[in-house]
Amino acid sequence: MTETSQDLLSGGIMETGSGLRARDFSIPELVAASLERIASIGHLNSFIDVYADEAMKVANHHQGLLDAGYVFGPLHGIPIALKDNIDIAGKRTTAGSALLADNIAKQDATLTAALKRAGAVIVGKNNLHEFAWGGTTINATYGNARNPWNPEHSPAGSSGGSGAAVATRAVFASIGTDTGGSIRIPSSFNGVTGIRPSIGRVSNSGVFPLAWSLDTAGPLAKSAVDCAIVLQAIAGHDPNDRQSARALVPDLYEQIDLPLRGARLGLIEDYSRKAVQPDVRDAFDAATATFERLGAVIVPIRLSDLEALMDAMIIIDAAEPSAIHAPWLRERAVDYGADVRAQLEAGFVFSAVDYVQAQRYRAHICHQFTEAFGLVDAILTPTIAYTAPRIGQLDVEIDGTMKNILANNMQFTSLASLTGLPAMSVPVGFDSSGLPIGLQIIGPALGEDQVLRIGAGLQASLDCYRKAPPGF
Amino acid sequence: MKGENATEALMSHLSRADLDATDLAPTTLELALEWDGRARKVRELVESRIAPARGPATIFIPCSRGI
Repeated sequence: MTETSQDLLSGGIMETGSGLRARDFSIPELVAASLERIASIGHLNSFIDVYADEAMKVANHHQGLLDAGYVFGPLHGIPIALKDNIDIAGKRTTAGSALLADNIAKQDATLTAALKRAGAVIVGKNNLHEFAWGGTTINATYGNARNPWNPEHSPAGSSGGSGAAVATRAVFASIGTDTGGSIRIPSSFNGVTGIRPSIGRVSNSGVFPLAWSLDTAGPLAKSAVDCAIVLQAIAGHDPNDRQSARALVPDLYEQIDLPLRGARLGLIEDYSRKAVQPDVRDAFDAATATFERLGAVIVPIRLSDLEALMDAMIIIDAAEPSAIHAPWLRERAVDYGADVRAQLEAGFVFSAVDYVQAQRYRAHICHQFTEAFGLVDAILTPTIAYTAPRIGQLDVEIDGTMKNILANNMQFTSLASLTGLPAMSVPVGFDSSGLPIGLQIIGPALGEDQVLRIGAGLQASLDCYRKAPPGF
Repeated sequence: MKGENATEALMSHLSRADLDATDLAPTTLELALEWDGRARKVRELVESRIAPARGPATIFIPCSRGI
């Protein structure tokens, strides 16, 4: 890669946009640098489709507008990607599956249209776990995505391509989707920042569903500040999405640098620091200490009955996709990858009563969180108990015992998934092998501004989020 | 016994959905057995601890308008 592309792609969105408006460099130069970087990371399989020619045309068009004094906002001219379960009119949405290899979207997803209105340049679609139903982005049809910090390791999933694309600075942000942790876990494994908004904050219209009652879409980017800028562009009520929240979206950027003094941050007793790898616990403790140095107050909180959290999560997270895919399972079962097909078939083991009991458990947990947010501004946990395993690895060692990855990867992320609350993963360090570690900040309902401010406050003092993988 | 029940439940539900229960992915049965155990755990916890404490009118309503 050239030194110029390195310079153009390493900054934050605000700083890069300022450079564009000051004519330090042009939108076509910036987009060309992004496309050059994408071409250089083909071995990571982080993109399914790249729109090189079209992106350059759009870049030239926007440069003309900028030259004429039309400034769209902070995303004007910024290269961005979408996870390939989000529609762009006239482009295929594969959802990472052979079943949809030729599925051309008739119109933009609501969030795609919002990004276009904001002047972002969409350069391509990121790889994902098939139908977002898995956490590895091992994908038989479009190739296994790889982790840029060590290509032998997993970038996680289901937004694994998005995490790798942002980590390598190929794009300034990628829009991912998160049902059980699919924005936050790839953010943790790839050393980037990613926020799952509250359910209903960002429209799911034009996003292929995984589990209707859990699905969200949100940005992965270099920093909390960049996430705030992108989320601001895509959040808001959408009459085309029945789950869309009617609440107004506050200015997510204006107060993001308010000091953290006095902020009350909850640690869940017997949970936040339990059953995690030592390096993850050390990084989590160090970040907590940083919060305290910044004037935040750490408050122990107690939540009961969390031992069934992942069980309830899997019932809902499995039953809903099986309902969605039943028609295709009848006609085209052989076209699914073996792992996703097994999950979709096994989802039929649950009875209607099982599903209802899981939703009752969910209400019980929601009630406890509502009470906890009377005491604290946010709740902290690790994003995930371990760092990126090797591709294909099935178990990880935690506290001396081997634990199954599939059964344990949502230990912390399902807290926010089940409750529908906003949660962000921010990088807080590296393990002894140099693989990134993430911390999760969970906020109250529709409290994305609070989550972003706490994350940005930490990143003002803990700058490991600026570090890129070797070679980038 | 539990494994047999889980397999029977899976076959029954697949059949009810007009799906071919004789041609499944290699790991479907193993996964269904594990997930059946998870459903039992949730059921036992809800019935023993949550239901008496919180009463009958507590269910998260999926697809409500926002939160």
